[in-house]
Amino acid sequence: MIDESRVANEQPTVGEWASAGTQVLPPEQRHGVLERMVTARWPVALVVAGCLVGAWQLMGALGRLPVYVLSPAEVVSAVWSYLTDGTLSEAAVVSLRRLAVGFAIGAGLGVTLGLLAGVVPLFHAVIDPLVSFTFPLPKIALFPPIALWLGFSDRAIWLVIALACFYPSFINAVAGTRGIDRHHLWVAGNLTAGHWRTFWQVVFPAALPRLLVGVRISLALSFVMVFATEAISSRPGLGSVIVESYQFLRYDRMYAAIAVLAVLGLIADRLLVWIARSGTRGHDIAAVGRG
Amino acid sequence: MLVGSLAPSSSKEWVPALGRLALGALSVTAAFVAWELASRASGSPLMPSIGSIVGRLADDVDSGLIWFHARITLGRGLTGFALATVAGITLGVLMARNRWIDAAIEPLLAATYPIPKLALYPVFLFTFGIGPASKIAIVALECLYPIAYNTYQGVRSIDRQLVHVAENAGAGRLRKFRDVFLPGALPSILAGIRTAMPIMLVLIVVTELLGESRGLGFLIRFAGSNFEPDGALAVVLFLGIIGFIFDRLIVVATRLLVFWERGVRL
Repeated sequence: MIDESRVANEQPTVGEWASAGTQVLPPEQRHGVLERMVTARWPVALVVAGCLVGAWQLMGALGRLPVYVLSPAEVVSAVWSYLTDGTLSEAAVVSLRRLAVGFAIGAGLGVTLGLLAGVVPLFHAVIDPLVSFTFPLPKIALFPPIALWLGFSDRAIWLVIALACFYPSFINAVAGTRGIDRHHLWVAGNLTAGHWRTFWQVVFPAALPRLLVGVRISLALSFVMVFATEAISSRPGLGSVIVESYQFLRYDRMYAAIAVLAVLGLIADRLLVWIARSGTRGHDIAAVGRG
Repeated sequence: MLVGSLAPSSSKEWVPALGRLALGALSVTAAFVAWELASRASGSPLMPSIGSIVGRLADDVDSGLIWFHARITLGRGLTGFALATVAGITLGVLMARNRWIDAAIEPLLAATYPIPKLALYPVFLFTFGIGPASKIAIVALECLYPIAYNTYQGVRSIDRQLVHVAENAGAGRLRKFRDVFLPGALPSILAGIRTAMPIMLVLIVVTELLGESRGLGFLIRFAGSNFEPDGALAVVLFLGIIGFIFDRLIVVATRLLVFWERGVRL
């Protein structure tokens, strides 16, 4: 008798796909420290990163770095001193609050309207042309005209961040809902699930991985936008600390602020991925996508 | 309704194609009318009408002002973009084909992906000077990520048997790159290029908004500080048109280059 599950599984598995380019040896042939390192991957990356930082530090210790490049140790000590004296911690709180408001409005609206457009064709027909029409505009370019109406205020910054965050969330929420496997819907229909039940128990979970890709892109964009808007408007925050320090050649403070912004971006992203993994039972959320 | 809407079979579309088109046209028109009404109601120059924005754009195109600045902006942006494309494809293929390069670089790329690279712009200004080089470099850095990633995933998803067939037929490294990896990863590479294009526009405009005396970003800031929202919005509109044209060009190029995947919706 033909094992039907095998026939259905003619497609290579995820593991086989992944190894298509890199040719992984069977376990019994893998040996040696180097072999294990390259298989685990992160130790190699760690060594490379360590060498780079080490070389950078060595150059600094030898005094070979240009005056505008601080050594890693100097950056770390600058971060520590400016965080403890409150300069950076206050700026970081202000920036994060702005970012959180803009991101929550933009991504929240994008996800909600995207899900709605995904399941209600009438709404999709109405909103999709508007979104496609405005999508190619670089949202940051709207900041100066918006500032004419709202001033270089927090509200103007929220609006620009929200605008930028809206599009990736919306586009991916629509794609996630509309790309759902219709067999799932037939099953739900056969089991006489109502609209709400179908939406919450079938459509939403199926759309979630793709939807979260959009949210992740929005989150990364919100960090770019908060820097850009603060740098342009000189509203106090991490972005303006970086630009002011650049203008007054305060290298230590500049690098410290850049480092804090980078680490905050990294933490926010890791946090989102962690939440997303538990929300989607271990789905990997791609960082790349349209939006 | 819900089921029918999510899985539209061509015969049973819930909203017929023509109706969709009409609705779309209606909603865009409604948005224009709403803007126009708001502009009339406020009566202030801070809320310019659509007509005055388009008129201003026509004037600026006519006088050559827009072209002068657009040439500078797009020259820088596309140079950075071209650098990112070459470097991204090379890096992506290398990572996908060599385990050591993969292990050394991919985790670092993944870790730095969510970091706003734009914040490094002051460092770039020190390194490359305040001229075009620093702007080109920051655009190239930010666009590199999506292109490298998409290439990497594209090459990795190539059917292993195709690679074996090429090797059995005696293809060398270059031949494999040209005839197997590049075409195999092409849909994915073009998707990465399509993702990176709007990023390029945002980055180049931000660098010009931050401090520059030429370019479209400067033009927006200049009009803004002269309290000419129609002038600023005219440039924004122009950027939107440019972005739309670039996006369409990439889609058309994808259809032409990836002829074997025609019919797959992008």
